[in-house]
Amino acid sequence: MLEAESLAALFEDKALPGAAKRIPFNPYKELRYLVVDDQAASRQSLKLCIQSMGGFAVDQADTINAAYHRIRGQMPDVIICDYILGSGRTGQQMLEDLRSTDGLPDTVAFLMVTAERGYEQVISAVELAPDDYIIKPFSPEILRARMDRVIRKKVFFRHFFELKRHGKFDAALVELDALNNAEDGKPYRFDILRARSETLLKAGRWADALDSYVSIVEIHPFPWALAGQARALQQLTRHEEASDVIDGVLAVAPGYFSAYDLKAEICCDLGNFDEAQHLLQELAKRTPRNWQRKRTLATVAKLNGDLETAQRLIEEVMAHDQIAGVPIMDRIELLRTALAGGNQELAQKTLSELTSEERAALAPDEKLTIECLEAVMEGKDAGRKRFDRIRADFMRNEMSVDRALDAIRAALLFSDLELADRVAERLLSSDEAPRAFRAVREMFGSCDMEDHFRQVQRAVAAERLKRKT
Amino acid sequence: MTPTVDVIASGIHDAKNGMFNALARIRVAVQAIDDGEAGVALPALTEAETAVVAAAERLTKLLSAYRLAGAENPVSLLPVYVGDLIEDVLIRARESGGGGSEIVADCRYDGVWICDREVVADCLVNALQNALRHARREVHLDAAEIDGQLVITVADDGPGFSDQTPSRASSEHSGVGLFIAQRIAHLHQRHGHRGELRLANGGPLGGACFELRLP
Repeated sequence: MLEAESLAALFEDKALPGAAKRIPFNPYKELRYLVVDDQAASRQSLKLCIQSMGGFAVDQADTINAAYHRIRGQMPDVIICDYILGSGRTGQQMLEDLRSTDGLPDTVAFLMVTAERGYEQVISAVELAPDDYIIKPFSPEILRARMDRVIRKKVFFRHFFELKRHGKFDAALVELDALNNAEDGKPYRFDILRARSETLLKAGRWADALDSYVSIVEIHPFPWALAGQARALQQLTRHEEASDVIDGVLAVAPGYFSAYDLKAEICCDLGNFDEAQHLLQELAKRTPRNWQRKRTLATVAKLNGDLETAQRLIEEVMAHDQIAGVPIMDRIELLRTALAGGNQELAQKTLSELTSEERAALAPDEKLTIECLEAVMEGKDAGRKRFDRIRADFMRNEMSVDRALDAIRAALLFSDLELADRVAERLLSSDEAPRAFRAVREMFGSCDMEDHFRQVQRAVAAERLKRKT
Repeated sequence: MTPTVDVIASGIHDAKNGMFNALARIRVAVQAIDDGEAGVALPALTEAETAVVAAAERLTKLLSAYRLAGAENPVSLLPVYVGDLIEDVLIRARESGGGGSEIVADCRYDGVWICDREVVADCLVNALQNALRHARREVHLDAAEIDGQLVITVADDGPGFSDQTPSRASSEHSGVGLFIAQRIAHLHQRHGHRGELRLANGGPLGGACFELRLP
């Protein structure tokens, strides 16, 4: 992949701002291309188009998995991808997978090719849109014009991309202000506004992000801008307002799948796991190969007490999504779900499949989680020693909802009420309380400690009151 | 028949004739190849290709008409840099040929407009093709912001619309292109305002003047 500066050098001082002004020399021979299309004839036709523009290094892929393989092998500068990729999968799904997992740097140009006029409806709605799209049939001249624009835009935003990639969000926002004031920034004013809103969200500046998205919605109620508004409201814990906004998005853009994901998240924030599970189940039927969504659904099913569904989903994900081996997080999740459902046999099997190399490569928090789950699996007597070894870490650390629930389960098993109360109070005082409440209550309840749980609740409420006054 | 069906049926008829024309040229080419006359086959194949492309374009246009007439929300509004839109339209119009007249473009709005890029481009390419067919020497394509609307004008120095044409834009007997243009204008609705299509004679070049106004 060409670095941003190298790409810029191809256009330096020669890139003329504005449309109808062609790049006066040919930068295309320097770039690496990946053409993704399940039809061999279409791939060949696109390759010829690229070659007629001066392109030389053109790689091809006929499936999403082949494309992932090529991208991991060598990141291209330009991806030209057909919308329909066969087996019910689309280029948009591939783009969303890549962008949402940081598998595709912003500097890489992604151009979608489609014969479907309906794709414009998708583009106008979603957050993760390609850099441009082109409707079939098209001429090499039109493709060239679109490529010129996309690459010129990549050059224009190159410093911003760099800052964003390194998590320097404040500096990235300053850069956006500078770009907005640049004379050659006129074609990109709207892109700048959108990038600003997204960066504010990434920076955790929820109130500013909300204002920024509202300013876009005032120009036009784009579904992606409304979803951004809902996301900011969610983070500001204005869940009811967030829910109303996202309902409005789904009413006008029923094909905007990420909006359903957000709606499900908001349902979880409100403690409405039934609705969240139902929403995600319906969505999973429409996107059966979106494994990340199935992971989320498994988590939601678990929060909803539907351990059977959770277990089935994790096993399905582990069986299918293993291009780079089964991720450790999936093994942990299966182990956790098996234990929660009392399925010792599955828990043993899952643990035994962890190789010593995998164990050695575990991150500290993963190691801690596995130790905790192993202690629970070994039982009250045999697991005591292991539990005592990790107890101090649980007392000290802030932790994710899942790990906190693991800690409470273990603490209750080993009759360590001090740890169980400490972690439960910490969890129920946090923004995650609506998500965790039901599970925590059920854990105490399963040990006949409902009254004790109510005391924990009272302590949390008293602490909250004290902080307010 | 409803007006939309009428328009679509007429377009399908034209596309069908185009396909038969292509078929006839292909048969000529096949015969010529059999006879070993490559000099005859090649031009016949080129003509066939042109006829197929024209028929495909017509069918695409008909699909647009169908979509614009039928769907509940057929336009997809996106931020579009107007200069880019005009550039796309010019490339496509020049590629489609159509007479020896020159197209002069002037984009006086340097900014982004919220519209459906593809359908607006289709509509303008069609207007330019019509203008090129009737122009004597020159066709103007102009974009400007006027009274809060994006006004895109296609004007030529030809004889102008026939007396009936301007009113035909809203009648049931209008051509596919005008039908689509009017629907596109109407479907662009923002902040309580709808787009508008205006057809007139005696424009800046003295001939026909096609004006698409988008809110």
